[in-house]
Amino acid sequence: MSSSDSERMLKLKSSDGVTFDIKDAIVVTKLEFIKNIIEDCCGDNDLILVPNVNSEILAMVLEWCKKHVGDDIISDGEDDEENEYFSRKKEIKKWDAEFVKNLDQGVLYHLLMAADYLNAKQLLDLLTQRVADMIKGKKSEQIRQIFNIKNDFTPEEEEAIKKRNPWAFE
Amino acid sequence: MDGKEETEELTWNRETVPKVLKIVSTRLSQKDLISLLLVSPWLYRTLVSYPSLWLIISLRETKNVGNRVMAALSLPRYRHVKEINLEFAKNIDDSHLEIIQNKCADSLQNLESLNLNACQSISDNGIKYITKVCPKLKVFNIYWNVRFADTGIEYLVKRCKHIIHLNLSGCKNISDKSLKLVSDNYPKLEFLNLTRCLKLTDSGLQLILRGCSSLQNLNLYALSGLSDVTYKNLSLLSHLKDLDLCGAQNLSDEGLSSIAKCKGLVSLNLTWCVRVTDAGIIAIAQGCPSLEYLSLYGIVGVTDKSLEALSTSCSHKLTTLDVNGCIGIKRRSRDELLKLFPNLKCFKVHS
Repeated sequence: MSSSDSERMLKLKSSDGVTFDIKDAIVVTKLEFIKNIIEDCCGDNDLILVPNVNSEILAMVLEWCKKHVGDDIISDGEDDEENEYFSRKKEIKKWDAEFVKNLDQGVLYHLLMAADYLNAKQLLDLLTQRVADMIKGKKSEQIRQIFNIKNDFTPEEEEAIKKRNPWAFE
Repeated sequence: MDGKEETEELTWNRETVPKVLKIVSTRLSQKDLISLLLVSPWLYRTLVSYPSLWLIISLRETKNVGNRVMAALSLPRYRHVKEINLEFAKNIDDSHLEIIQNKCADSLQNLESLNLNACQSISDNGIKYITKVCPKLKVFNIYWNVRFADTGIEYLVKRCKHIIHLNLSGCKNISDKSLKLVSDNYPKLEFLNLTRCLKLTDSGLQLILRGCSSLQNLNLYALSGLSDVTYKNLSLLSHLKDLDLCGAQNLSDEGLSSIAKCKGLVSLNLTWCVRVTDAGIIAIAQGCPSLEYLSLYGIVGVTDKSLEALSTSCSHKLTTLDVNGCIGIKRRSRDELLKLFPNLKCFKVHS
């Protein structure tokens, strides 16, 4: 990649028509979806449509990308460089934890789907683990409450499932 | 609730939640997956139709397992199950395995891993039934079972041609006959645990050392009847990484020097190998630079010379070193050990 490429600005347009200006270099290594589009279109097209993601969510995805832009730089093994590398890693981990901690579950879910659609592996891992941690060890009713899911089962259906899977519920 | 809110709620329940939880479900335990099944019918349908979620049946340490595993295997979503874990489970015996062979054969065609550790009511007969229907089995664990012996191994080698991992720890009735069957039939075997199989002799082990040259893990814990004849020939296992010789009272320095030819050794347990002295350990230090785990527990014949030799070759790799009871080593306090081996995390292996 020549230096002019890394300074190139892209325009991303969300599903609700909001345009975001962002440096190519920030998103191209984190969002496979964008990387593929740029490669396919020979870089001439500067406006990229992201029809499945609204502006609120897209803004958060870009915020995450900006924070993680230096991730791929690996330390050279020099002692003080290594120390800096590890303390930066620690700081980013803390930032990630804060990022997911107070998310409203609607936002959490939409962010997860956006990460999946945009093929942002690292972000998807972070969000998936967050949701998994919220589910671990919980009973069905608790899970419904946490994620605001309606219990559409009739009592008969519920009984039938339990009967078909007696081995799991003992 | 107005029309828009209602649509949003429907979308949330019927599309968003199942879509997201399908992605998340790959990280959840079986127990959590089953809780999810009962959350909503939309979630149920989505998860049940996603076959890669239902590849493991784990009923370890539970009761009434014979009936429960049969019930599980009759469910269509377990049609492609790869792993069944019944470790320490109660109430499963040969009769259940016979019924499984008759009724659930289709579901076991892809089974690769079966754990029957401590299922003490299962005998050779039970193995006769189950091995008939899982031709792709690779990993077989059946420890602490005295009813499983040579006949059981005969059934196993006849029906399951792809075994690479075999745990027979505590199966006291296994004899050299089984070792001949294993060495004749499993040339690609990678993991073999023969802890406390007291009937085994040097002759049987010879066959294994010559026939199973791909072995990476070999456990001969408490087989104190073996001699240097076996130990010297361990050098035939050029891929050996993990070797457990706890209790090998006949192991000499010469035997250990031969073992040092296994250049890739990562883990070596020499607890109670009371004939070993500095000469043997120095040979190991010189021959095995990748060593990370070493127990010398109870060996009074090793001195500080051994530690010096080890720190010359693997000072940064060693993370576990047990020198409790090694009264010949004068400088073996925690701090002194950390000076020689700065990455040590574990100082005790044997209790």
